[in-house]
Amino acid sequence: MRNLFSDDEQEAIVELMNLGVGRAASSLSRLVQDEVLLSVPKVEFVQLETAEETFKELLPKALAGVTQAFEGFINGKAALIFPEERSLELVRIVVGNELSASEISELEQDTLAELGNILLNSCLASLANLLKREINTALPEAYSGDYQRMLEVLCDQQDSLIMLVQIDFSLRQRNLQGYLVFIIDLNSATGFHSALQDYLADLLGNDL
Amino acid sequence: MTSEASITSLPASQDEASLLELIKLLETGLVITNSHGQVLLWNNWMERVTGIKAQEANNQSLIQLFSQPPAPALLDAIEQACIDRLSRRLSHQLHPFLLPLSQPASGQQLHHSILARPIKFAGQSACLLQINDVTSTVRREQHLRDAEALLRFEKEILSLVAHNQPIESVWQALSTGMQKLAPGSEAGLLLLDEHNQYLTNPITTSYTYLPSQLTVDSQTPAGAAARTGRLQLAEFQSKEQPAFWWCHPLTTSEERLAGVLQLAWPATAQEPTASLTLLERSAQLAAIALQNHQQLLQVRYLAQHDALTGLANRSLLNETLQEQCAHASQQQQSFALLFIDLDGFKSVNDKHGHDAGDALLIELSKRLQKYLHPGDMVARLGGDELVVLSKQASTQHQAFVLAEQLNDRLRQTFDWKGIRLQAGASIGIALFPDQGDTANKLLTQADNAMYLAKSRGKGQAASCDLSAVVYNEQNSNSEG
Repeated sequence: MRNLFSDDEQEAIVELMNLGVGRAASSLSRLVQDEVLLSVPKVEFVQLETAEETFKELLPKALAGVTQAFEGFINGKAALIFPEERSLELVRIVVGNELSASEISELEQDTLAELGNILLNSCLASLANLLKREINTALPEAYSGDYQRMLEVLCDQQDSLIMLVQIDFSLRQRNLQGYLVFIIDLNSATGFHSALQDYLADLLGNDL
Repeated sequence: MTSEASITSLPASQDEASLLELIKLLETGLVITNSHGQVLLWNNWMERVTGIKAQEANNQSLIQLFSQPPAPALLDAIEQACIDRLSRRLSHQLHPFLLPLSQPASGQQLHHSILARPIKFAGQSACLLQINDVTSTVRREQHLRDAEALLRFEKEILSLVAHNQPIESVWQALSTGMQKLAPGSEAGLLLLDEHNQYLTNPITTSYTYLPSQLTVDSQTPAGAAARTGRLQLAEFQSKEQPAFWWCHPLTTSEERLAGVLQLAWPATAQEPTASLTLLERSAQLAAIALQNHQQLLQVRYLAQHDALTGLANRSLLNETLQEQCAHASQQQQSFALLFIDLDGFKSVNDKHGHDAGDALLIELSKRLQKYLHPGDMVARLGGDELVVLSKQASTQHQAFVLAEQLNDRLRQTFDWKGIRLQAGASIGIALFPDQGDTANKLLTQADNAMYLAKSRGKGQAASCDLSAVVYNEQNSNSEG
């Protein structure tokens, strides 16, 4: 599965994610009326069997974020993940809230879900646009828990391909690190594969 | 694969009627629009919170329906759902005014969040909007925030008080904190003077509405609060414009009126949230600060005064003497230090007991205080040793005259419980800067001079600089 995508294809994915993240940054900036900088994403493919190990290694212990299902040329679930305490920070930076309670409030949960929604929609929509495919998304849901709980939420299928995308957020001179995770149903991974090939072929101006 | 993201097609024909009936029963807002924001479905809940009937809403665009246009984010979300088939969650915190909705009962703003989902409706791409009432959540979280802000404010003030910070900085923090908690308002306090005549702002604040000083009998809410000891909620015409002016009396733990807490805001603006609670809590905090301040003053007083006579003790004398040396040196002035040792005091104690000695000491202290000028100071170093710091006596001659006058007053008899008590004094004189330019030197010189005076016979005054004894009247009784 690691070799499902060629080097060219992997590079294309990074490029596509980069464009998607760029679009997300501008939507976020508009929303918070402040400059939001998102770093160039680091993309990593993770095998389901070793996902637990990889997540444990890469991700912070307590996680919070937003998940959103998508369907179209690829099916699966996407997630925006933060270390739990930082997710609260993101909301409070954006909303300018003064609450000191350590727990995220109901309204803040909703706000976090929307922020995730904006980011994930942007990434998925630009991916679909660039690949000239169609995709539609479900409503986002906020969640919290550890990496195991997150894997359970994300991977309800045995045959899944996991794409882990790491991005850094900068808001008003404060840095936040977050992850985007895309769990792609393997059955649709072939669709992704062919879409990528078409895209690369278009770029190179000839059929592969 | 999960079908969460799949586009829902609403059933048609015969099922449609019953489904629409169901939608009417929902206690949440449901609206279906096309990509242009034209209404295709408008449920009963929406009728109630907008006052717009479904017949009026149908086929109208959301922009035309309301006098205030919907938030652009909502129109974007509708377009995204219809065209890009993306679901959107529009949260209340990021979009406080999505639609102009109001609560049917009170007419107050109805806080809401909206979920936008792509659907197929009547054969076309459409957007399902689910409008959720979050008013009670908003209110609950607002209360939580207000309570937290108030707690932080209290913590700040109490921390200043606990660390015995100067009272002015407590008043400053109190005023600033109150204004911060009641944005758009002016807030602060007025303290009552000792004659119960004036109410004065203890810190410098430039107010538009609030006065910085007024008389207690003025016809103002602050005056009334001070006179009646009760909360005053009034509207008044300020220099600028009509404003609200709320005043809460500041009473100490002994129920004594100490001032007034005040809060004002323009009549055109909304009342700051929880302003009454803020005034009450600020008054309590101010009372705590005042009480602590007074206790602090008391502790300081006790640490610097002699318990028996109430005169300054050695510590306060040293402090004052150092200040006076610095001041006199700067101004190139002289002053005198008189070291008084009572003659015959020991025999009073021996003959009549310590109570008699104590009573005599108290009496003599009073005589000294009464005779001296207000700027002068008398201190008790212990036993029968007293020190006078006189700014009036700036020459040897003046100092000797003063010593003589003091001795005249000290040796007058005093009747205590039918017993006639008497003590004279030997007085040593030291002048700043001739006999010493520091507190220590002056005290030592005055002490030495006192011994010189005593050695020449009691009831005398001496200066170490003078070989001659200036006056030498007959010895007072007994020993020294």
